[in-house]
Amino acid sequence: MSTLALASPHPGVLAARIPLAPHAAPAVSELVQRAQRGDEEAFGALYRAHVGRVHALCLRLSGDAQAAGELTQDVFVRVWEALPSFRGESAFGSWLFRLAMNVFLGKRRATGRRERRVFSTAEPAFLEQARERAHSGEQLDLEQAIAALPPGARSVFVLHDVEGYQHGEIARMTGIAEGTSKAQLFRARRLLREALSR
Amino acid sequence: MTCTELRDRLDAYVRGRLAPGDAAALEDHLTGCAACSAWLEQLEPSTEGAAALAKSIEPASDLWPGIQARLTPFRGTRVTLPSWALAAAAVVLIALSSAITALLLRPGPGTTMASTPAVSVSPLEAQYAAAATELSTELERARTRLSPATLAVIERNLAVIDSALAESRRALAGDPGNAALERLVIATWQQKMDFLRRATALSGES
Repeated sequence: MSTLALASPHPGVLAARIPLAPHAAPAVSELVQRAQRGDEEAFGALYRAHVGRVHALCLRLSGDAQAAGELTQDVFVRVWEALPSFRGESAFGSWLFRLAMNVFLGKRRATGRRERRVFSTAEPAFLEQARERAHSGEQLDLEQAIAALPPGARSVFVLHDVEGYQHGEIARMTGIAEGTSKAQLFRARRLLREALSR
Repeated sequence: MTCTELRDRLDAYVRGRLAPGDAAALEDHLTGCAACSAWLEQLEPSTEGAAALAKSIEPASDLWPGIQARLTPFRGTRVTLPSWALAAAAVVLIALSSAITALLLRPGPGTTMASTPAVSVSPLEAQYAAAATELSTELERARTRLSPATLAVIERNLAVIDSALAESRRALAGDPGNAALERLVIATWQQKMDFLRRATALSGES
């Protein structure tokens, strides 16, 4: 059975592979080309192949299940709008992931929102989703602790320790300095260790 | 900031108790100091289990219908332009659309595009989108009362406005917080609403 590989900065470590039925699905590049010509059905197939990964990112960055759903929708609408400018210089999944980051950061800047709530205890939908996907109590604790991090530290931690990006890549994607990325990662790890050892 | 100062102030940074200027100096130091960067990595290595967390999490409900409803049709290959050029192109399209509308449809009350204040666009856009959907539905119901020629003109003008809207939204997405682009997006929505209202009124008179 063939698989559809989703983009990952560290192949073999982070790549998600979705099983596909033999001869059932066209290649991503073909779907992209069709979507670039305005084919909504092809774009729907791209959505289905990538929505889990985009939603996971949005969920962890926002720490809020409802906001994550809205962000995910915004990302795919933005992808549709930006598709004509996609020239295939990077993998579609990588391009989409960066675009998702831009949408998240743009929305945060545009609304001027500074998330200071502690979502791990205040947001039941987030907890419910975290419970469903956690394979162990430790994973659930970790998800909750990540959601409770300050926003800047949380973004860097998700990109570095969960998604596997390097500080230089994070700096380019988010517009912060490499030193800020390193400092925020340290802050996140220290706060997580303290939270998980309580 | 020196290496010693960084180590002394690290705990205050973690607690968010460092003055903004000191926090920025600490971060600047880490950009250039490999020794302190390595020390931090040694002090707090990767959090156990983080890399093993699920990379793909399906949404609780299907988001596709909501996304599909927001997809704007586009035609042909697009050329990537800088945001100022996109904004200028959008202005030209809006002006063109206004001129065609004024020629072919009865004049209505004037719009005040230039005086729109800079606002957060997303919530307003949602309201405009909902209102535009209502008017579009009403116009769709009235199709049979309009001549094919009038319908063609209406559809052509709507396509021009939608194209301008998509371009200005894309420019804003590339430069979030740009007040001029925010005004442009809102002005384009106003243009679309104005046109839909006129077209709907026209269908009522036919």
